[in-house]
Amino acid sequence: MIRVEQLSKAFGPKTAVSELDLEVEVGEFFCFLGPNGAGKTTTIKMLTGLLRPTSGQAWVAGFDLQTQPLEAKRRIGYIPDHPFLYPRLTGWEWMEFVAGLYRMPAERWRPRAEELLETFELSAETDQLVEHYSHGMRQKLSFASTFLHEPQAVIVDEPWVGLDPKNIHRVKAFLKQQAQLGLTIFMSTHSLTIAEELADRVGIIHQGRLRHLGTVDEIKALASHPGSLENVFLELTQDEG
Amino acid sequence: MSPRGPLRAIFRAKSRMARHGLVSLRRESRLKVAVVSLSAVLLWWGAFRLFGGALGWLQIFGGEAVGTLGFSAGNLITGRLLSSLALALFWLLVFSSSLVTFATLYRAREVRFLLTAPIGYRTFFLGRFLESALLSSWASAFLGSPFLVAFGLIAEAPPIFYLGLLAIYPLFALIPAALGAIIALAALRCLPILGKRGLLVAATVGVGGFFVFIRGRLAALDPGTGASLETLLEVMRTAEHPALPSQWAVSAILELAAGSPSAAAPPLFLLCVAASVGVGLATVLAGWIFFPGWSALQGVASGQRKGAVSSRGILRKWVGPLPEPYRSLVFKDILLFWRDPAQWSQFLLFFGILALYAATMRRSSPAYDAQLWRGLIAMLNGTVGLLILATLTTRFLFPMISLEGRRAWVLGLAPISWRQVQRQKLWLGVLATSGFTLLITLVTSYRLRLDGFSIGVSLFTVAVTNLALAGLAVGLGSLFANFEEDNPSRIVSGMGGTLNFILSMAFVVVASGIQAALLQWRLVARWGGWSSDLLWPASLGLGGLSLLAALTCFIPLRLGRRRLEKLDF
Repeated sequence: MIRVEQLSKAFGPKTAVSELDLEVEVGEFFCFLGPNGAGKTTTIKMLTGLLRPTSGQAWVAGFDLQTQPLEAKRRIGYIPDHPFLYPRLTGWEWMEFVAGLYRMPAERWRPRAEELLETFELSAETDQLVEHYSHGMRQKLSFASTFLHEPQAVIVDEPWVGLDPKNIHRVKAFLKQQAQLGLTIFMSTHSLTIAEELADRVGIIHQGRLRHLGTVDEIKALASHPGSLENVFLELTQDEG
Repeated sequence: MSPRGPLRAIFRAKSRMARHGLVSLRRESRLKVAVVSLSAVLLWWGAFRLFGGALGWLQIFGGEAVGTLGFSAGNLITGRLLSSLALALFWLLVFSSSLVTFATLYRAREVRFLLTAPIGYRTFFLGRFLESALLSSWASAFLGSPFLVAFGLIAEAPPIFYLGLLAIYPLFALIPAALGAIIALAALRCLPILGKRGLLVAATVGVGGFFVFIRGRLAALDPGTGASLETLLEVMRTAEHPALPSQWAVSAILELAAGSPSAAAPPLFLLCVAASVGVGLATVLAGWIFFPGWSALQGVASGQRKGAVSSRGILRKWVGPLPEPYRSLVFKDILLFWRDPAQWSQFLLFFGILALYAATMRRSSPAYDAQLWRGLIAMLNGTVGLLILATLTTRFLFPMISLEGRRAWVLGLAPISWRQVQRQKLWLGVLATSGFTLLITLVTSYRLRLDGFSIGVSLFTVAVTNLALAGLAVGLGSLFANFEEDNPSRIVSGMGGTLNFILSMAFVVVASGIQAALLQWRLVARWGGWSSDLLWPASLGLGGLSLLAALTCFIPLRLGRRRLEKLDF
């Protein structure tokens, strides 16, 4: 579903991502881990069409993000760490706006929007302006609108910011259920316990290079001492030299 | 049901937001809404009366038919004045549109969201372009309308003239907006090739070249010779070039005013075609070059800042003597201002216009020998400088508190009082604007060979106006703080920004009036039958101005501080 070949991005003399090769299968829950500044966000920006790679290629659902960006974006859902919402729209108007961007007919988006707002417990607040929502509610509305167009792949960047434990639990269950239904999830997170719990496979990026790739158990086996994913991550991402 | 178009979705969302914004006015204090509305009406009415008087005087001045040609010199001057103003407005709109386009197309928070949606870059551009055209042209529509209505009344224009204006202005404004957008798109596309520094040099050369050209044109004017009106009309004639879109707009206006809609049709058609071609061209270009430019800009934002460390060091030295917390606040504000090209480039433009004005002024002219002319020119100098200052404080100082944005809680929780935050922004504003405005007043006064008293009055007026307008902007900026918005253009476009602009203009009118009365005291005294001794009028005038400045500065600051202190974070 997501394929990346020799993907690199340089900002002047600094290489943020270097020759990344990766393939995420349909229905796979992939967690992308790495310390701050490792190149996770740059990779995500290239996968969502926000950045042009310096070299290499990326495909989503078989569509090249460089040459067929609209086809690729139609199949992607993106949840950033700090979602953008228009504060002066109501929750329902926001859903309608997103449906318009994805060219969804009313008979398709309306029932889907109702269902998603119900799932994220926002049905009672749909007529309120977003400016009156709490941070957690905004995050949930962003989730709901991301799934509105039934994407085939969802790219999630640290989605837990501002969510309380109950909502984190709900979002985790929702994402897991979606992956079981065939949705491909590419999630960047610093929460290693959640990655350990959810991921089918984990990729660790460090200093712009993909250092390790495998199932959680395979990654754990790389450490000199067996332990949690957190301990293994700390050992694998120790600065060289 | 047919699928909704993304462009329709964007416009629908924007119109809904505007509607919700209007509805939210109901939650605002009625007094606040009434004061802003009344002030806007008064400003409009004041401008209308002023323009009406000036245009009426021009008609009387040249009302009789000249020679055998049978046309009125007043009509000739009015026509050329319209053309010159329209041309000046055209270039101002080009510049302001290029900056607003940069902010709305590349810097606004929603851009990242929109770019992840499956909408083409052309659709994205159109969705954002109309917003930037509106943001860059609404103020000139508001300030230009009293002039055109006054013109219509003086020319006894039929009702179709006023209806025609509703079509002419949007079409006219779209052309510089499209040109400005093309400049912004092209500049950002060149970013990876030229680099940030190269782009800055190219922009400086471009704007500087433009200023030199204008200076060359204006230098032909010599108000001191007998042929000054003739020369002035000759220079103004260049604004009537038939290939200029501003002239098409003026031709359509003049024909409609003369009651000849059929004669207005060809220039209106040209405007229509030029606006369509301009917007179309910008849209096509955006499809090709927007994304590479956007992507390169992300690289600049993520890349290392060469020289940033040394410039930070210099700035630290400058602010070093200040006590904390002012040092940290000033350091942060200057750094953020310098890192936002949309901010500092507009600031430079304002002072560029002032500097151009000062540079164009001749060092010696027979006209300066006359006390009356010297006083009049000094008064106009002061008024022009203060009007630009009013625009500056509205544009840059008013949004400063709002621009603390979602980080305002940092200030709210820090052991700093809002009084200190306001004081820091007030004095930073006063120092930044006074440095330039006092210098320019001094230079122009020197060139005019004003006497010590006139220089003193001019400098004093500029100094107290700086304080009053900075206090007004910071105070109203606190009272109408909008922490949700991070685009300064939008912050200024709100109710508070409008009120700030109107009150600033009103202060400038009063300050200029006092300055004018003192500089022309002999005439005023003769007209009023008072003594020509300057001691009492100077003491009363400057004392009254100081009191008014203090009230204009401190009342809004106090009201604003009360509002900030009640904020929850």
